[in-house]
Amino acid sequence: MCRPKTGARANVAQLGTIARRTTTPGIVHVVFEMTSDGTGVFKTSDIKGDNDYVKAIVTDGLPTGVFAVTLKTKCVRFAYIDISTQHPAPTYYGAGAKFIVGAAFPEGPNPDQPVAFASFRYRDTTDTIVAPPPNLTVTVRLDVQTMQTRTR
Amino acid sequence: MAYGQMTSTMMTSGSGVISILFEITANDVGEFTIAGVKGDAGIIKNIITGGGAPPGVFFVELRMKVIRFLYAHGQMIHSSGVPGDLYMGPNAPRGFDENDRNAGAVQIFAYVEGGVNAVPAPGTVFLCCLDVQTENWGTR
Repeated sequence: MCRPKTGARANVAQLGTIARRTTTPGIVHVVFEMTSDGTGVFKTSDIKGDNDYVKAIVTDGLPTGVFAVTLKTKCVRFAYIDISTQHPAPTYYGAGAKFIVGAAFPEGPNPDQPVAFASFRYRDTTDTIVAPPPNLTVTVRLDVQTMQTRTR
Repeated sequence: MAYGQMTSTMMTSGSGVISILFEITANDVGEFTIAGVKGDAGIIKNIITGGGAPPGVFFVELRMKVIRFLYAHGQMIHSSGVPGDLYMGPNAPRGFDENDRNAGAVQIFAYVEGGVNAVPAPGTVFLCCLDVQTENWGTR
């Protein structure tokens, strides 16, 4: 393994965020955080840390409490998906409720737009999908197996 | 298989750590089998069910022992409105029989609906992540 470069020799790739960068062949780790607006809706402009790998946050046409992440490319498959909800003090609102992973389409649900698509649903303690609270921060992890790589 | 043409499994940038990312699909009767595993690059020796374990519980046995499971988590892909989640069970880094040189590390998962063990719907997909510390590496 190469030693990380520092100072003037630093490589931009080594100093960037984790998204789009990996030393594990075939897998890209896309990790980012975002905070919903005052109505509990997530928007593409809310994303931080994805290194511009996320194409868009999609909510149009989806039920309340559901959003989808589309990447700029399609992939062979999603190797791993995770979402974590931050419950800020002092109220820890929504404790017990959480986002769950919804549908995953490595090549997207629309053949005309072949981009990786993963959706998430906010589920309360009764397993009902409901609107998330406003100003909710989540962290998302998408590990995708890139095209041109194989799976046993 | 050429370097760079596999999935991430068995490759790592963290010394002594292997990240095992795989997907497992319940078969046509809701059972978990090794045939339902995809993307592990062969590091999983077997998927074990039955043997007195509740329905929906499966054991992931690796091909080798490990020092510890650094991180393990599973996610259910909720493609339909079916409730349920994949829960973490205990693990056995040295296998169930440490003296058995062929025993591999085991991580247990359980599918749960409404707080009780259940059989998932056929075709339900789960994604699992196992980061393991391999042998011959120290820990502070």
